[in-house]
Amino acid sequence: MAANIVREEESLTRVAFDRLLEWLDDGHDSAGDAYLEMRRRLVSYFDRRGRLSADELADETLNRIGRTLEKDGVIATTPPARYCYVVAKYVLLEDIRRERRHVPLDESRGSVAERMPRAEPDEAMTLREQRLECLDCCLQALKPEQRELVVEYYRDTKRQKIDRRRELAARLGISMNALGIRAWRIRSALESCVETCCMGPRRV
Amino acid sequence: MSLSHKTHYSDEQLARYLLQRLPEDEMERLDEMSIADDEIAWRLRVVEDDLVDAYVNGSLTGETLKEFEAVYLSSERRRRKVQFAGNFLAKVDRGMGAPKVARRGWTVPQATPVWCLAAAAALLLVCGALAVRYVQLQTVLSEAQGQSAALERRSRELEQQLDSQRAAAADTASELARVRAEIAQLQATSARPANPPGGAPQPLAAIALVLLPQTRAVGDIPTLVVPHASSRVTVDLRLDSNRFGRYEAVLKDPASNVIVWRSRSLAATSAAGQRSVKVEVPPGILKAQHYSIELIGDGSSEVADTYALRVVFQ
Repeated sequence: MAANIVREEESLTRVAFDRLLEWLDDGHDSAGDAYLEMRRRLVSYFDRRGRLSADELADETLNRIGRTLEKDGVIATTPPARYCYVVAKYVLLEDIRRERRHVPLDESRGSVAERMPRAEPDEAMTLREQRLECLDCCLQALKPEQRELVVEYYRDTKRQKIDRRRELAARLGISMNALGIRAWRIRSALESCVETCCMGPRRV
Repeated sequence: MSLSHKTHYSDEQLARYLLQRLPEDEMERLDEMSIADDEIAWRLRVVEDDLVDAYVNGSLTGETLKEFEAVYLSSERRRRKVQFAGNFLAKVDRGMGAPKVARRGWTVPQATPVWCLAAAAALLLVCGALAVRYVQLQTVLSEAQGQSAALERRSRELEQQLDSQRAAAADTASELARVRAEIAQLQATSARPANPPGGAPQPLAAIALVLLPQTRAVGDIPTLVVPHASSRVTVDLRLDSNRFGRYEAVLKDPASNVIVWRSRSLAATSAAGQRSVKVEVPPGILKAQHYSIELIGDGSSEVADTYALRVVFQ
């Protein structure tokens, strides 16, 4: 799929990339964080829209904007995030059109189970154990208060969970939204840590 | 990244959006907000995790469950999230101890004793369903492994892009660090009694670097040049504020956000009106790469200052 994505150029020039970072910062220097955050949002958008190559499409979107900035110097549409959505929408439509042109009619996508590659039982068990070990290692790296927060935030279900979160937010003196974001950040860091750990030698 | 006029969306509506159960015009509106509106972008992440957790906990029922399996699980990336949630919530149930509780589909079906014919029939049905789930999970695990490799490649590409931006400034910083190291070495040499004639020169035992809180400019990354003979690497972290008396330093790999090392509690010191914290990093844990250091106020989880540096070996 990735090979099907037509790019105007393979990568950005340094000038284009610099301008893209500066433009995304929108006057608040984020040292690259705004770029990474926008990329995450774009990947999720393309993924939700059922695109198999969400990462590549997100990069293509940002590359196009970078090239426009390099060529024209400015982009009138504000805020930058809204312009990113406009470009992303075009990239999505182009990808859908490309898929219609290139995917043979008899190539049905099949069910979820049919699309999944098969793994040997022993291999799957080893992978599962490795993931659990990695999760243990990553949890060890959390500070005690972070560990306490995620246990409190994610335990229980339904009503109990809501009550617990409300109490926790009150105790910390923050809103439920802020609490959710704080818990999400820890969980997301754990998720990344497990991915990294499973790909190579133990780092924590 | 905010929209000036907003429609209020409940968590239920956001969950319906994630399951593609909203009318197309609402879907498009939320598509835009998921990118252009900070609050919606964050809330979607929180709602998505809750939805995944509900699935793993077995709390989803009826149409929602069907939609989740048909729509949400159609993406490899999202199946990986479900897999992580299964392991993570099992840990949470145990207060982060060893997992014991069987969450949806994340434990291998155990051999089940047959103790009567009626029960045997029921068990056969249950085991059949579990076996199907088990096969699905095996495939999910295998797929996730492949995706992990792709993510790693992408991560390296991004790091290279950022590195190239910082390279020019880093060269200057590198030169500065070298000069500082040489000055430190010269000062140390002049403070020591001279080597006896013909005696071997002393190996460089320690190296130090002064770091300022991270500036906003891309490319402004100081370089710490560590000679291979170093037995001690000291980083002097200048403080912007005096909110805390003691701090904990956390060394991180910025590419993965993995914590590489933590210091014990360190006292802030003051000299010539400048407050700073001296951190001794064991040289053995350092690799030639970028690092970030977070100073966290004692007794709080607040990151007081963040520093960035690049380590190279001489």
